[in-house]
Amino acid sequence: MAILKSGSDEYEVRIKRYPEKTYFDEYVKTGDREEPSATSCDRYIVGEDGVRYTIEVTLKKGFSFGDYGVVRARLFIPGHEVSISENDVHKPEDFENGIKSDMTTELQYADVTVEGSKVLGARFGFRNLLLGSFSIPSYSMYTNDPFR
Amino acid sequence: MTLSDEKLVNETDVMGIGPGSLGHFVIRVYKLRCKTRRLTDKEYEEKVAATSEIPNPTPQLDAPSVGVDRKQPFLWDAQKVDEDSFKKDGIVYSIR
Repeated sequence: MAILKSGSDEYEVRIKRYPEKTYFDEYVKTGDREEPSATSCDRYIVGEDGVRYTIEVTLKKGFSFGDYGVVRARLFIPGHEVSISENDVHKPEDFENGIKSDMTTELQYADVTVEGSKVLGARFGFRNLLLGSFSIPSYSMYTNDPFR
Repeated sequence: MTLSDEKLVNETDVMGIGPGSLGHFVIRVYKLRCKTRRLTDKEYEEKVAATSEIPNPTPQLDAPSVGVDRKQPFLWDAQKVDEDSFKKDGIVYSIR
């Protein structure tokens, strides 16, 4: 899992198999751990050919919305400038002094164009990125908080 | 003689492969808020002027993206399906 902290705010990102709902093991590059105050981090997972996945973004208990109304998670893939998928967590009614329990949103679908055809609500999957018989996709996570 | 091997930008010194170069994606998390601001009279007039400069929309000459005479094919228009790329109930997106 990738966890980033910003003050009392804690964001967590995990990659989940679909439909099994089990989590991918994630790896960190040796000697390359980020600072506690980092706003981005890289994680490595072993992609499984043909396996579909979702991306779970969690705001941990105590997360402070303050005067922000929404936390938005966006997925970017190489070669696309705009995000291909996004989802929001809205500020709950009881947000004073931090949220009272974890709040989660899951990126599951993207609307993509495959060879001229629109595919609405396509799921994400890994496809044969061969290195021997497995692949090592990595992912990065960023938080964007201009008022840090 | 230059030692070009010293400059390993975006590469690892093991196996000569940067894991990120095999495939990667990025998740960004944003905190968003809305603000309402009252425009001054001058700003308001500028906005109104800018809006009225936009000409009335001209009728669409291209076929619409929905309806019977659309040109853009949708997935459900498919007559045949390539079974290699269509597994069970989804298209598997390839990351390169």
